[in-house]
Amino acid sequence: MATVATSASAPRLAWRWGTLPVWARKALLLVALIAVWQAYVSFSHVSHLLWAGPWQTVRAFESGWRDGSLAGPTWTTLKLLLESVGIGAGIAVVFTVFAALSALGTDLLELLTSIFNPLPGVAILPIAMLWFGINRSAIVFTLAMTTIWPIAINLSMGFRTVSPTLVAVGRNIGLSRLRVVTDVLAPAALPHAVTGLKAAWAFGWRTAIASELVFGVAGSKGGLGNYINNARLFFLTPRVFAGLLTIALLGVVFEALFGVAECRTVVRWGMKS
Amino acid sequence: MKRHHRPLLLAAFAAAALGVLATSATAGHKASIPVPSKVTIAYQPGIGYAPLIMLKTEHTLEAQFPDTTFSWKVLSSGSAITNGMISGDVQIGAGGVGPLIVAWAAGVDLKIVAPLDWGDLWLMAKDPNIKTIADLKGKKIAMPGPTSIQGVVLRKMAQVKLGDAHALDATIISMDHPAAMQALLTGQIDAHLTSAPYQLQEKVQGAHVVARSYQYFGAHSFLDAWETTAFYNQYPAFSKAFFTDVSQAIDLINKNPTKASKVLQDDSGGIPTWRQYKQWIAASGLKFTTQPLGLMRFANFMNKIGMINKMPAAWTDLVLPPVFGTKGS
Repeated sequence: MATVATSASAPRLAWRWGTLPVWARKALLLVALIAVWQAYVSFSHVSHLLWAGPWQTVRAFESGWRDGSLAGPTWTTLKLLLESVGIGAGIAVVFTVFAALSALGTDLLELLTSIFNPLPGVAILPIAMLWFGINRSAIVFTLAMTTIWPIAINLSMGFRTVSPTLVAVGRNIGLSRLRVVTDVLAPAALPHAVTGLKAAWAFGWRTAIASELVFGVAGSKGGLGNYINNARLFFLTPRVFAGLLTIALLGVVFEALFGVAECRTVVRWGMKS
Repeated sequence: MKRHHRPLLLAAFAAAALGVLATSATAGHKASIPVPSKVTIAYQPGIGYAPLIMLKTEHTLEAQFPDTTFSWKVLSSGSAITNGMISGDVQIGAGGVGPLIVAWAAGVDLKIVAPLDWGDLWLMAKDPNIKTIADLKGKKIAMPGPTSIQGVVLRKMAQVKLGDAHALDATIISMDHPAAMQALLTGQIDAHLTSAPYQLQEKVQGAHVVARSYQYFGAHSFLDAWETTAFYNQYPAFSKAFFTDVSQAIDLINKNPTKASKVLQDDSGGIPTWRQYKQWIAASGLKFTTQPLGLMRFANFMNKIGMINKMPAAWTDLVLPPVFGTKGS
C-alpha cells in the first residue's frame, strides 16, 4: 500500500517542488536538515560533549551575542580581515598596473602568481611567526599573502580581456599609458575585480579562522577561531557550534553584500548579467 | 535443571577471579582476566612523565599483557589528550590537574587511575625588567593552554598579586613546552609558565624565575594518568595492574635515580645524557609519588573563579579505586 501511494504521488511531488519559489524550496530543505540534526541528537544518544542540538546551539548563539562574548571575537576577526584584504588589494593593484604597463611586469606577475597562488595561506603562518613574532602582524602578513594573488590574477585577466578597440580608442584620443590603465582598463575590468575581491575575501576568511586556531591571540583579544578553540577546551560544545553558526551566517551575509554591490555597479552598467 | 549449577559455577568463577587478582599484582598477567585488545597511552613532553616513560622503555606492560597491543603517543597538551579520550582514540592519558578537573566538571567520565608526581611549576622570564607578576600585564606568556595546570596557576598568581584572577587571561599563548622554551630564549614571548626540565634548561640559558606555583598553592600534585570510568569498569584488574606498575616505576626512580636516568636517556635516543637527567630529577622540584595532593585546593579555586561550575564532594570523586588507599587530598 505504502509503496503504491508513494510511487503514485512522486511525480506530483516533483512537479510541485519545481513550481515552488526558490526561497521556499531552500527554506524547506533547511527545516528538513535541522529536523535531521535534532533527530540525530535526540535519538542516537550521542554524548552531549560531542554534539550540540539545534536548540542548544541557538541558545548559546543568542546568549553569546547578548553578553558580547561572540560580538567581540567576531569584530576582532572582521577587523583583521578588512585590514589584511585592504593591504592585499593595494599590493595586488600595484602589481597588476605594473604588469599592464610593461612586459617585464607581466612576466613577474605571472611567475609570482604561479608560485604563490597554490600555497594554502596557513602554510605561510609558521614562517610569518618567525619573522614577525607571535602577534597580530604575523596573521596580517599571512592573510595579505593569501589575498594578493586571487585579486591580482582576476584583475590582470580583466585587463587582458578588455576589447582592443577600447584601448585603441583611448590611445587615439591621446591618453598616456597610465591614463589608459586608470580610465579605460580599470573600469572595463571591474567585473573581474569584484570576482577577485570575492575570492580573496573567501580565502582570507578561511585563513583567518585557521590562523587563530593555531595560536590564541590576535592582539590582546582573540577572534572567532580563538573563541571556538577556547569553547572546545572547556568542553562547551554548544558554544563551539554557536561559533560555527556565526561563521556560516557571516559567509551568507557577505555573499549577499557582494551580490548587492554587483547589482549596483557592474550589473546595472550592463557589464555582467 | 541447569539453574542448580549456577551458584556453584559462579563460586568457581569468583574463586578463579580472586586468585587471578591476587596473583596478577605479583606474578603478572593471567589469560583469564579481561584485557583490552588495544591500548593507546598518551602523555606530554617533560620528565614529570618519567614513570610512564619507564614503563614504555622497559616494555613492562607489553610483557605483562602479551594479548594487548600498546601504542604510545606524545601530545602537546592535556586538553588534546582529554579530547582523544572522549573520542575513544586514547585509553590512558596523562597530564596536569587542570585539564582533568575541567573535563570532570564538564561531565566527561574521566578520573585519575595513577598519580605520577607533585611538582613546583616556575614562571620563567628572560627580560630582566620582568621581576614580578605585575610586570606581565599586556605581555605574552606561553603555556600548554588556558585549561592547563599552568593556566590555573597563572590565574591564582593574578588573583593574589593583581586582585583579578582573569587579569592575565589575554596574555596566554597556547604552546607546547619545547616550542615555548625556544620562543622564550629567542625573545618571541615574554614569559613561560612551565615544568621540569624546561624551567631548568631556561634558567641555565639566562632566564630567571619570576614566581613558583608552590608559593601560591603550597606543594601540589602535578601529573596523573587518567582513564574513563567506563574503561576502568570494563578492565578493573588491568587498571589495578597498571597502577601497581606505575608505583613500582616510581619506587625505582626514587631508590635508583641512576638506573631511571639511564632509561630516560634510552627513551630520548642518548641526548640528553643520563647524567643530565639525573641532575634534572634531583633539581626539578618533582616528587614522584602515587599520592594525590591538593586536588581539592585546585578544584576550589577553579570553582571560585568560574573555570568550573561543579565541585567534587571529595578528592575521591576525582580518582579511581586503585588510588583510594593513598591518603590523598
